[in-house]
Amino acid sequence: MRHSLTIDGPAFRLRPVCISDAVMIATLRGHPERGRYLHRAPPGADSQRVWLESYFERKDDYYFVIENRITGQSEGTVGIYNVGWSIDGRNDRLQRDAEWGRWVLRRGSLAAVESACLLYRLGFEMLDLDSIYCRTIIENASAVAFHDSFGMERKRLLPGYLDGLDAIECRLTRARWATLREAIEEKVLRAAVWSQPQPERVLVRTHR
Amino acid sequence: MVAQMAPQPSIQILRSEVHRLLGFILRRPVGDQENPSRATEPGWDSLKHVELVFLIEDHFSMRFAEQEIAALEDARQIERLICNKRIESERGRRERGEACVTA
Repeated sequence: MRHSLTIDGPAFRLRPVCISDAVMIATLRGHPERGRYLHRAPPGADSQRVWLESYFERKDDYYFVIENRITGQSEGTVGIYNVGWSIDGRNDRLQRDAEWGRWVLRRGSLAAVESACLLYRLGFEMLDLDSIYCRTIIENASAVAFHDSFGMERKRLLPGYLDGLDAIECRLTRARWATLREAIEEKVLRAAVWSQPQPERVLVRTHR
Repeated sequence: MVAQMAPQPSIQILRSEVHRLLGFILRRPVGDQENPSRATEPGWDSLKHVELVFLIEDHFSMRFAEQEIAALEDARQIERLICNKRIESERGRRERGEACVTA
């Protein structure tokens, strides 16, 4: 949907996707390694524009570009969608939840940790969700490991989820995020220094 | 047959220090002959990578740039980067006319 949600972290920002991002998104998702575990879509910027036009009409679907706050460079994309209600199995209460995904970063980007934090902040603080889940292809071991390291809870196996590949559903509740947030944001703050432009090295020569 | 040269003692020390830090992050001992990489270690994810770089920066008292961190794919590359940083640091001192301190 067309939305105006933007959230800033120390080094990166999530801002709404716009139609002019089609080329960047198509390039990113078309990358054999970076787009390997994504839902298949026709390749190319034109197809991406068509997809974005339909996305703009869809309710409760928030798609973002992750960009460097200082350089403005696009680092990748992330989305939060399928906003709805489900029953929390632990207490049989209704919870407002959403799925996150479409998470692709350019090779070499250091935006992974901060963009995940921003996504959770946005989900819990701006969309007022009770929990957020994601579905990751098990073969995508580094992404599964990331969610484990981050502190998400593995919930269920989804056999044959994408092109016959199994996926795992992980979930983060608002309460769990509250316990993780401080430690992870400390790391994000320190890591932000890496993404700032480096001053040109000045060689000072001493003549004797 | 050409026998492989044993690494210099300082390299061996550096390697064992890097492997100790890596082992802490991966939560398993890393042997001297191993060269764990991000491609072969599923536990070496983006968050662990950040934590590893923090440990290395603190342990070796050096700071890295984004491109350097992004290029680190295995243990040997970490060793090389630390060596290069030390050389660069010593060269800087020499150029400023300061006394060199070799670790």
